[in-house]
Amino acid sequence: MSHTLELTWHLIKRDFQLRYSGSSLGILWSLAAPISQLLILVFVFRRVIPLEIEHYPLFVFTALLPWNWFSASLGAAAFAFVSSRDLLRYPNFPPELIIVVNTMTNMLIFLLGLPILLGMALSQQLSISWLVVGIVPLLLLIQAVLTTGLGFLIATANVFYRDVAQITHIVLSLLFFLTPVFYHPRLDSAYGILFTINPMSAVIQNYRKVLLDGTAPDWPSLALAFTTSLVIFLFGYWIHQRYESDIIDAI
Amino acid sequence: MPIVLTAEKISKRFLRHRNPTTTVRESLTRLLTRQANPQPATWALQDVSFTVEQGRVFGIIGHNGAGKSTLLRLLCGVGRPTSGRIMREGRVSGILELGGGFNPELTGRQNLVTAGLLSGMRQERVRDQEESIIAFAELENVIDQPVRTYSTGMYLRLAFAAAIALEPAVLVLDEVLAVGDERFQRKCLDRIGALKSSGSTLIITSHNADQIQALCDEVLVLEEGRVVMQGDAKSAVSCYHDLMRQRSEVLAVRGGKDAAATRLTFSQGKRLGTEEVQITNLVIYDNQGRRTETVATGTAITVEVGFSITEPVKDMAFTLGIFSDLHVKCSEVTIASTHDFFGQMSDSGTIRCEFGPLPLLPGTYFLNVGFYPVDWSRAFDYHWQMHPLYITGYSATYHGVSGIVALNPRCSVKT
Repeated sequence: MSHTLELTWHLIKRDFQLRYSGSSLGILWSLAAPISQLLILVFVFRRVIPLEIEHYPLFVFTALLPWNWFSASLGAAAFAFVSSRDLLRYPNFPPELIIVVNTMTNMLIFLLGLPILLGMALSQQLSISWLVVGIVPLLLLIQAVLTTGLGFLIATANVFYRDVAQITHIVLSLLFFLTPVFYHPRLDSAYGILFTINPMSAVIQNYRKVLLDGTAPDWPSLALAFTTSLVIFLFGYWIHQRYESDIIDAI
Repeated sequence: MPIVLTAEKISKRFLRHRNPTTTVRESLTRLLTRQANPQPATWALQDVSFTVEQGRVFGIIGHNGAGKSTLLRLLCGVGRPTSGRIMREGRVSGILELGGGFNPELTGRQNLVTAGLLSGMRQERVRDQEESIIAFAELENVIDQPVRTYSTGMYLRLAFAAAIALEPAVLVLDEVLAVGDERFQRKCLDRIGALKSSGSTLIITSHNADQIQALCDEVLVLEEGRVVMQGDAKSAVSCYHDLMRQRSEVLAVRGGKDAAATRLTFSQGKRLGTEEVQITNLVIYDNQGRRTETVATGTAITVEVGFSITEPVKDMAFTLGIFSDLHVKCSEVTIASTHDFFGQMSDSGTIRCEFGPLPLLPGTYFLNVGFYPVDWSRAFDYHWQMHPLYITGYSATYHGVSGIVALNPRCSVKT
């Protein structure tokens, strides 16, 4: 087991080496995307179309970090198998590890942004409740399960149908607007169901609850998100296992 | 010796998804119009069974596309057989293909650590072994450069050094011994010997039949995805040569029509001799008197050899022979003394030899021709494999017949 951990950790480091080797800022580039998105969203929704939301930069950044983890993972998942031909040629290498490592790498980038988020919260004189320590790992787990499950589906499908990468790209950019990243959703409205069934929406809303409001999470929405994620994970894993042998042949 | 690897009736079929550019649209159209899949399934391996004992060097030979690489991949656990079972005792490690296994963007050292961990070593042990692997590969200077900057030889040295350092129970080497300079090959072969005597099992493929014969205790011959034979190296290699010859005969017959168009050049074969007498040309005529290099089995040919004597030579010997492409002498005529045979020779002229109908099976042959002093002390001029003769034929006539002589035995059974 600990060998698997060593291998996983090594592959995560390898992922970072592949991404940032040769660039002067290295890993700091991973923070460039959420910070620039933050600046543009704050400009648009404070100056151009003002939304009356308290602590708006913090409000947006709490959502941007998990969203970027989600969308970067799935975007990369499409090419995860296709670009890992070297690993898939090793005797007995488990292909599913590639997807897990992909989720983990992007989670580390998320964790890297977390101190900035906490610093922003402190600078707004918001008190950070001890709930954070208990709830954030739970939210991480839900998102990791969801992301990995979808990763299995996308990566497996893209081996056989290269259109999947394109479709994923479009769906992710649409989903950005259907997930309450830069606005407050109205759960009681006619389209509230969109936010209720979207596990990423539940995850983001609960980050806001514990970090901004300092209140307990909304347990029913978390339970639903967790169940949905788990079902997606099991389905994704099942599909992946079914086609594993074909993946290796087709790569 | 205990058995470390068993293949039980394994078959491998490559399916529809082989074409990576299949799009959703194609699949949907196919589904809606109920078309059959355009790419028929191909069997890369069929019913392959064998066992490998511990400590043996097991070779697999076959021509390109016979299924060697597919078989090795399955043995390593890269992919699963469509049917049948593979049982392994202990860890299998190997170099499956040049270019696979290492990421070109990462350095040699980074790739080495990945390789070590992926073959089941702990991080600590990889660190311990790292330097000795690099030293064996002789890559101290470039180990921290990206692998994409390596030459094929460097790449192979690293792959090989990594694979053997991991002390696998079974080491699989696909076609890799053919690369690298001779000195490094020697080093690898020594290491393979050491591995073997320490109880490791090796499975190798090679195009080089001599290498297979020198290294292997046991050899499997594959043809079109099926096992032709499994046995000792010597008989397996000769079986492989037979298969190769059959294939080249088929190819020669197919290519025979165009062969006459290719001009006879002096770039092929070898010319030896002191050239007091020179062979100026060699022309083949068929039974209609047409100049050709391609005739059908059973056609009579006439060969004319032009010569020119540049130094005062009173007498000489002459040979003209038909040889198969594997240097088997089919027939050779020797004239020990042209003076006794033809009388006084003028300074230049042509020797004409009328062969009767050639009872040769389709294939590539060579006319080797030479002039020598009568004491055979040297050659004046000898043309070796410079003049090809392509024999074509109707495969139906000689179906199932191989070899050199075109015999068509009638076989029947008496009860």
